[in-house]
Amino acid sequence: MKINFTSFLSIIIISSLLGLLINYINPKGIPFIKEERQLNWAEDSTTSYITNKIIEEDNDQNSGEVFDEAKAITLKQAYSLYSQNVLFIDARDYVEYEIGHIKNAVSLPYLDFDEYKNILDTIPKTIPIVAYCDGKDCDLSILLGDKLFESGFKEVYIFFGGWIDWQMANYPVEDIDD
Amino acid sequence: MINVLSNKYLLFLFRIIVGFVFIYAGILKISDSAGFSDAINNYELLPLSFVNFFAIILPWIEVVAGLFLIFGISVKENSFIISLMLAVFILAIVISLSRGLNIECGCFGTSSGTKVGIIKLVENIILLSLALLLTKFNSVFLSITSHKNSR
Repeated sequence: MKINFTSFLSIIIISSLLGLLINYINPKGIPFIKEERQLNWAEDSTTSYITNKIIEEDNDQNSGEVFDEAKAITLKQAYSLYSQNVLFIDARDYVEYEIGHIKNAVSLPYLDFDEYKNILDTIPKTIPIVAYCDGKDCDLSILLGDKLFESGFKEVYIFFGGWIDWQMANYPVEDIDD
Repeated sequence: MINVLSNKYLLFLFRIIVGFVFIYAGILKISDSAGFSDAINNYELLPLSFVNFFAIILPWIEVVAGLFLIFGISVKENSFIISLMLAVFILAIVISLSRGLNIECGCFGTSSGTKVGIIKLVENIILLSLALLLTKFNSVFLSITSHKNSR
């Protein structure tokens, strides 16, 4: 094969330096060390008075806590929101959604966001929504939650435990047999 | 068979195919570094502190190696670099599949939304075979440096 090791190394080093330099001068460049997405957990009080807040918001758009990002919620908080008829959005593949999902949840696969995003047009931006995916090993709920927040939804929750925790807790589901 | 595979027109074709795929993939990643960095992170193979470093340099190595391949500059070295990258990609895909990760591939940026799967694996294996053939046989046909190299 006879590879010229000097050329091999030079090409790698020069292109890496080029990349680092251009990233540095590019206003859209990324930081050298990645920062972890810190999940900001919602207080219990935020989720338990939600019904009142919806009613208040119908009358007055500026009432209630203002979110600065999507907030993570526990299984208990998720169930509390579910009991208050809050809309759940399933970030997984449509096929996975079909097989089984949280009862009354709507499917919006994050990986096909552009294809499915029309369903958001029918949802008022002021109502609370909960994004979820499989469970703790999957980050689609966080990605979708962030995207929904960027799209203008004011009150977005990320149910990090997701479908796995929900099923384990025997909470209401809809599956392919329903 | 070796005669067929070492045919200079065929090797030239391989150079163009692999070169364009890598330039295209690299440019898409450069245009969305943040998305690509998330895509690497989703594989859960690299410590967080290294993720952005690779997200910054990898696409540029792809583009430079791809350009050099098309122009026929240091074909052996560039196809070897590409083979190494493809080997790493294949390994990452195999590990993710075996761990049952349901993640975006990030192969051609993140806007395409293609997921890690068997098809990606096959695509990468085909590209790796082409790159390895170029590393083995070299290709100087229509190379901008070919006047210096003997055929």
